Amino acid sequence: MNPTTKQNSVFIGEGVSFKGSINAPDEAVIEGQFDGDLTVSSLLIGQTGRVTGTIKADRVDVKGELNKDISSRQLLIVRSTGKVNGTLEYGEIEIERGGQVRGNMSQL
Amino acid sequence: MFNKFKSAPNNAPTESEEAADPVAPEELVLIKEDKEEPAVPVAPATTTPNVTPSATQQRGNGMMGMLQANVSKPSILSEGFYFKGELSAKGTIHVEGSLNGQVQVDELTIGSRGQVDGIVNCKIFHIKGRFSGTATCEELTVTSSATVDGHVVYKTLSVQKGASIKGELLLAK
Repeated sequence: MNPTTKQNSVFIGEGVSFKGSINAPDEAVIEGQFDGDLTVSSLLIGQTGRVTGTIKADRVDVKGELNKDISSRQLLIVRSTGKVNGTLEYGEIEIERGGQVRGNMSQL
Repeated sequence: MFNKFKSAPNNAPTESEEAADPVAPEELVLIKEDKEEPAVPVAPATTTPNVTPSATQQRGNGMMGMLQANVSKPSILSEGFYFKGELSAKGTIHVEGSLNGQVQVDELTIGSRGQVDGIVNCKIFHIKGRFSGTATCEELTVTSSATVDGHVVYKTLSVQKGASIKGELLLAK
C-alpha cells in the first residue's frame, strides 16, 4: 500500500525537512528529516530518513538515523543500515548485524 | 607368455577359451605374488598409510583444523563451575557456569545458563546467558535469551529479538 494514502498516518518524503511536533494515531513514515517531538503508534524511518527529538512509539523500525530520546514501548528494530544514538527505552529490541547503537539503554 | 598360450591350447585345444582364463589367474597370481611380495612391507605400509592418511588428514585439517579447533574445541567452564579471578587465553572460552572477574580471550561465549560478571576483553563475544559489567569487543552477538547489563563497546553488533539490554552500548572507532 502506498504509505502516502494511509489514514491517520504521516509521511515525510525524501528531501523534506520538518521541524515541530507530530501526533499521529497510526503510522509515521519518515524518509526525510524530522526535528522535534513525535508521538505515534508505529514509526518507520527509511534509509534516507533522519529523526531527531523525543520519540514515543509502540513500534519503531529504523533503517536510517534516529537520535535523542527514544521510547519504543513494544518493539524496536534497528536494521543493518540503521543508526541509533541517544537514550533508549524499549520493550523488545532487535538489532540486525551492522546496525549501530550508541547510548543508554533500558528495558521497560 | 606366448609360449604358455601355445602350450595351453596344445594341452587342451578345446578349452582354449578356458585356457585363457587359467592364464589370467596365473597372471593374477603373479600379480598377487607381486603384491604379496611387497605385501609384507606393504602390510605395515598399509598400516602406516592408515596412520599417515589420518596424519595427513590432520595436516589437511591442519589449516582448516587450526581454525576449526579454535571454534570446535573451546575451553569450557561447565554448569555449576564458579570461577573468580583473572582469566587470559587465546582461542575460545565457553561459559556455562559462573565467571567473575577479568577475562581476556579471542572468543567468549556465554551459554544460556552461563553468567559472566566483570571486565571482558575479546574479539568475538556471544551472549546467550547473562552478562554484567564492562566489555570491549569487535563482534557482539546477543541472542534472544540473553540479559546484558553494563557497558559494551563494540564494532559490529547484532541483537536478536527478545534480548534484554540495560546500560550503555558504545561504538568503537
